[in-house]
Amino acid sequence: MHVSSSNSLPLTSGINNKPTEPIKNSGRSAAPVSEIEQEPASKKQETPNIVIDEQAIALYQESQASLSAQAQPKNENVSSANQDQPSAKNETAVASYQAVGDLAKRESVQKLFGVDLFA
Amino acid sequence: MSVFSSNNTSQESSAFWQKYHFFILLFAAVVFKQLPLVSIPFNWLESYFHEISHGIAAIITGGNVVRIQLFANGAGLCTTQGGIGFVISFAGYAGATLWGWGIYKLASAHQRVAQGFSVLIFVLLVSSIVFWGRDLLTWFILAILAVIFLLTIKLQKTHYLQRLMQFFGLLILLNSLSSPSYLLDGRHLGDGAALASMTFIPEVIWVVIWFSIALLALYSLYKTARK
Repeated sequence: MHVSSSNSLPLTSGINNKPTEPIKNSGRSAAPVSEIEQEPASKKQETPNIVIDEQAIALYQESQASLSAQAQPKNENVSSANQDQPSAKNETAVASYQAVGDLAKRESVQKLFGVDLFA
Repeated sequence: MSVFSSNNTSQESSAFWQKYHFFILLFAAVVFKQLPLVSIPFNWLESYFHEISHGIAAIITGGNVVRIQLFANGAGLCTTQGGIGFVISFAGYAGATLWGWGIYKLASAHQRVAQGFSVLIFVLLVSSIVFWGRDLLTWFILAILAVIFLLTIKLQKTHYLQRLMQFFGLLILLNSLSSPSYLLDGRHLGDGAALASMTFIPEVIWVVIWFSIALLALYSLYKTARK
C-alpha cells in the first residue's frame, strides 16, 4: 500500500532530477509523500525524511523500461522517414525545376484556351 | 396562225420574266422563308456563311479558326484564335450579306460562272467539315448543305442552276436583313455587344449598320436586275 503511493509522484521527480539525494538521506523512516511536499525546502535539508523504497524504485525502473521499449519502434520509423526526406537544398532545386515546367505548361494552356467566340 | 401565237406568248412570258425575275425570286424567297420545315436548311446556310465570314476574317487578320459549330435552330458559333477582334466581330453579318449578294451577282453573270461558284461553295463546305467541324451536329448540317450544292452542280440544265443560285443568294440576303435585329433582345450578347464593348458605340448602331448594308446590297441587286 505504501509502496504504490510513494511510487506515483515524489519518487518520479526525485529520481529524475536528483538521483543522489534520496540515497544521502537514507536514515529516515518512511513518511507520507504529501507531508514531504508541504515542508519548506530549507527544513527538508535540515531533517531528511525521504524514505528510499527499493521495491518502488525497481517497479519504476521496470515501467520506464517498458515505456521506452514501446516508444522505440515509433522513433525508428520517424528516423527512417527523415532519412527519405530530401534535403532543403534539393527541395528548392525541385521546386525551381517544377516552376519552369509550369510556366511552359501555363503557356500551352493559355494558347489552347486563349480563344475568342463569335456567335 | 397558232404557231405564231404560241411563239408570241413565249416571247411575252420571257420578256415578263426578264423584267420581273428579281421580284419573282424575291417573292418566292420571302414565301419560302415562312415555310416551317423546308426553310430550315436555308437558315443553316445563312448561319454557315455568317460563321465562315468570322473565320475568313480571322485568317485574313492573322489569326486562325479553331472550330465552327452550327446548331439545329439556325444558331452558330465560330471559335478563333488571334486576329483583329473588331474585324472578326464585324465580318459575321456583313460577310453573310456579301456572300448573298455575291452568289446572286455571279449567278446572274453567266451560267458557267454560276456553276463554278457552286463548285467553290461545295469545296468550302467540305473543307469546313474536315478542318473546322468538331461535332456530329455540325458535320450533319454541313453535309446537308454540301449535298444541296452538289445537287445544284449536277443539274443538267445550267439555266436552272443559275436561277437556283440566285434564289439561294436572295435567301441568304433576306436572312442577313432580318437576323441582326435578333441582337436587340436586351441581353447584350453576340457580335453587336462585342463591338459595343470594343468601340463604346451602342449595339443598336451596329445593328442599324448591318441592316443598312443588307438593304444596300438588295437595292444593288434590284438595280442590276432592272438594267
